[in-house]
Amino acid sequence: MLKVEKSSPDLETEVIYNGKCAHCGTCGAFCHHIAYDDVGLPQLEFECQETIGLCYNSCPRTDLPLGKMDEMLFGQKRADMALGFYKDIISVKTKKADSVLLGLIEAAFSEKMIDAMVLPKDATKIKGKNNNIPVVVKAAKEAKKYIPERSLQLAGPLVTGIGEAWENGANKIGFLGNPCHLTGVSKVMLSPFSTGANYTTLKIGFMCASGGLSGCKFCVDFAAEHSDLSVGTMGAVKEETLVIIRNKPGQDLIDAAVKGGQIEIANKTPDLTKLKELTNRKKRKNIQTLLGTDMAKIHYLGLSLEELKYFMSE
Amino acid sequence: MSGYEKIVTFFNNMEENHPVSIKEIEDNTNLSWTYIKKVLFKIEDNYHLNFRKSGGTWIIWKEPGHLRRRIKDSCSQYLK
Repeated sequence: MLKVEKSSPDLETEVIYNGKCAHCGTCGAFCHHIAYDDVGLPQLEFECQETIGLCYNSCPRTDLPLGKMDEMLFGQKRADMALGFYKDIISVKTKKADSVLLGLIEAAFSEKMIDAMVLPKDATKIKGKNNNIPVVVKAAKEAKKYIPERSLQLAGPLVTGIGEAWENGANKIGFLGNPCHLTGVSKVMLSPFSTGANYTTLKIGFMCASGGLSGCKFCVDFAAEHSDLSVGTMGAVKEETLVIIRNKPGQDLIDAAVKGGQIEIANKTPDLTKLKELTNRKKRKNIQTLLGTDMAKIHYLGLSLEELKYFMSE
Repeated sequence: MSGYEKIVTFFNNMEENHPVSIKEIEDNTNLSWTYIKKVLFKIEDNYHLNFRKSGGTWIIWKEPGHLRRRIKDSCSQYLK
């Protein structure tokens, strides 16, 4: 990604106090001078002198050229405008609400793909407001109580968990998050900054219609397009979970989980009509928000006219 | 500690928006009035201090956030 000569003061002006923040935690994941308040909004301790700030450059609400990110992450641009780049889409049997995600995490630990996993922990009881904070688990059995069932259970500065895991010596970090989290992590990985994000070996995305925050109305990603694997029940038939496999680590994990009996494939060619409908609805609605609020903001997606026409068409 | 360092330390510990005269610095540091004035002139720009003559007295004060704290552990350490 290109380096933009902007840092925390610009982040405050353009994102945090402009209602665009997704509360994802990317800006403070590798900076000790950004903390998060009770609702997960970043707070800058003081004005920073850096000209090129990791915080600004990694924020999912700043420069986000979708085509370029596809090329850098997956080696080619997306063929499917709605769901992003992918290799395969399958549906998996959902035995219990948490069985698919738990199965994948168990397989990732047993195959040694990860030595730590960042998951969400409900901080409502701790802080009294609807917010989730990251928790780093070192074994699959610890993960069970933190498996989310809805994207709202992932809203919060979870990316800071990657920084925490890295500082505590993990070098194969797994991460579960909403699309905004995955975009943030991917932007850090693609940035000219060498941080703990480069030790993220597994990115599982949770499909999300909205995280319930004001900044969510600027998000055009439903299917967690910058993950290794996207998982979601929205758009799937009853008792099944849709899994979008985007790259080799994603495929390896699915193969290992099927082989190990942690998950069971229900359909190798599931019907994607409902999923695409939901994805396009979110994209269309939020691109309209971007256009309606400020024409300039749409530029940050780097869409061509044809791509924009596609998203805006019914 | 050198005379220069004594003055800088005094300045760093000063309360914000609370003007002091050179006499007060003289009493605190046991340095001469002329030396203090000379040093204050020297560091005026670098430390963004307010240094004015008010009536017959030279006073200095600092404003909130007059100095940006230098962060040693900022993200530039990760820049490839």
